[in-house]
Amino acid sequence: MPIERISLRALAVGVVLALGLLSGLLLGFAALTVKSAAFESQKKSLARVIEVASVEVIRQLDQRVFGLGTSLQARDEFRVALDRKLADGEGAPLQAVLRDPFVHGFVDAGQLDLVKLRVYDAALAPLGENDSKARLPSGLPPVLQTQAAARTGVERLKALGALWLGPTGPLYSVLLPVGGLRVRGYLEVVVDPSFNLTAVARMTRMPMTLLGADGRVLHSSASPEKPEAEMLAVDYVLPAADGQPAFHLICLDDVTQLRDDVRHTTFILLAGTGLLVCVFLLFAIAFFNRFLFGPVRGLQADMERCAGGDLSATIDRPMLKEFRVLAESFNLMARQLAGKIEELRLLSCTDGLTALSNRHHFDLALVLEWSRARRTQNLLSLIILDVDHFKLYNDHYGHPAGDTCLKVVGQLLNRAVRRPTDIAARYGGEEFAILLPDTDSAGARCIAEAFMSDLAKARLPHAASPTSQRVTVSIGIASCRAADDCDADKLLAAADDALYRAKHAGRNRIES
Amino acid sequence: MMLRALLVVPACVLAFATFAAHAEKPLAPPTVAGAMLVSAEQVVELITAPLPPVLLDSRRREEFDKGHLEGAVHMHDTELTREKLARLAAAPERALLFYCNGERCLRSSNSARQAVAWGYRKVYWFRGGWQEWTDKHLPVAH
Repeated sequence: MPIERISLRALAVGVVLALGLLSGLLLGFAALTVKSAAFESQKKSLARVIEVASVEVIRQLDQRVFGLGTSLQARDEFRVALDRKLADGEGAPLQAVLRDPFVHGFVDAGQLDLVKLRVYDAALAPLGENDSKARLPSGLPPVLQTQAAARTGVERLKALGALWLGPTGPLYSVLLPVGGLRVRGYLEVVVDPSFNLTAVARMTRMPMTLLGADGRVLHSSASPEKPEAEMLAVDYVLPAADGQPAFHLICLDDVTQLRDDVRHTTFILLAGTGLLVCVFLLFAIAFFNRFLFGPVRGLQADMERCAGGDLSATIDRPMLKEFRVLAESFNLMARQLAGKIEELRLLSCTDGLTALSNRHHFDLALVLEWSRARRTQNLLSLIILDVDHFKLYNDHYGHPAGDTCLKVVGQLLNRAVRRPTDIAARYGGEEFAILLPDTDSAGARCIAEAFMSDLAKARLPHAASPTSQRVTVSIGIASCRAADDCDADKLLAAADDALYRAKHAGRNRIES
Repeated sequence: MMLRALLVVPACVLAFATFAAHAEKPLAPPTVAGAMLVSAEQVVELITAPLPPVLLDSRRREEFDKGHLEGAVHMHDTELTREKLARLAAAPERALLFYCNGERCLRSSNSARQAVAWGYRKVYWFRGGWQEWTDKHLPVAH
């Protein structure tokens, strides 16, 4: 589309509507993002909660296992059995002691799921284990083996705990030094941590499914009370000491409230922002109308008025900065144009030499004043005067002096004509005319005499004149009341006749 | 007026007692002048050395009975006298090591300060005490 066919209004409205549309699209996108961000954030927060709960459960488990091991290795029977094993290799007493916690329910019910008790010598070589059904690889788990072997000095006296992957599932082992500060061997207590990890469901108050590293369901407290759509599944992987995934804890969070909150928030977001956008659009349209389209219409109207000839038109209304600059430039142009036109008008009406009205202006003024005099039925007088023997003056003094003479005559005429309605004009060559509205013949004669008196006082020399040694003029006056039998041409002819008579009567006189 | 005063005074006492009961126990001083501050690891090194210091457990008797550092002697700070200490360590050059429950227990610091005042020149103070020992899963004697 050519640019000339696009209006500013259409462009502005288009931009505003495009902004509105874009805002709508962004809002829709924001609403979708808010929803997914809320669920993602909830998921991350809950994963962190599960992580903290799992770590706390493992910490409590470690404490309990440590307590169990400490109590066991503090018993005299244990020490005696260990001494016998170390002294003569007799393992039966040690077996019996290690069987004891299982037989007598040494472990507090509901606190630990004891899997295995194993004893090692100071160099971590296996000495014996209880004869439970659980089959574990012989020797320390590799993770504990590595950690224990890396320790020296005082560190060897500290108990070590680690989550590791056994053949049937993840297990937790605590390795305690036996023999107090002088280590004679080590006791490894192996428990199944999945028994304790069910506490995560209680701590987080969420239904939970506990999976082993192989994906086997070890525990599940999830119930199908609520449809899955209203539950958010949060997965947390509890790693073993070697970094391998040991457990998957999948908790289900009831997101009914969250979903309602998101819906509510989205509604507020959409409604609030939509309202704001609408208000903004209305405001933008009102603003453009007031300060853009209105001024442009005004500007156009003013320009058309100016083009119609009324250069007094100025633009003065509230508008935007750029339009204000444009309007001021237009006003300046109109003012300058009016000045130039006035200047040209004056030039077109003025005689260049005498600064009196020229013949053209005089003719127009005569027609105008004649019409007025006809309406008002007032008298109209006309004086025509001619410089006597002006050809001789030019011949004698030269044309520049002749021009000067005419200038002086013009100035004296201008002085003689006092009323603003009177018009003095250079009628042609050395001939002048004075149009006197509302003036009778006596009044015209009075003005003519005053002029002749002024001219005499000026004492302009005219050595070549046969009439006088000074410049003189002959004056013809005509007056009439405008009517059908006396028109402008007749008035002019009458004045001309009077002048003619004055010339023939010897010049330097007034005839009427 | 009198009735109001009679009500206000017990209320203030009750409020103070409640505050005092809930207020956390004060922290033991960071150091005891004349005594050397040691960690759990340094304690192990000291008590496994050829000439270990006399270990004095300043906790309550029932706490001691539940478990204590190997070789420790129970000596509550209020029971500590010069004569009792002299029976355990006659010479002032004999090293002594005091501990109690942990950094919120002031008994071992009081005892250590007292021992320094009585002229013992090698006084060790295990500020972390029982709390640090068990947190580090170190061996416990019963």
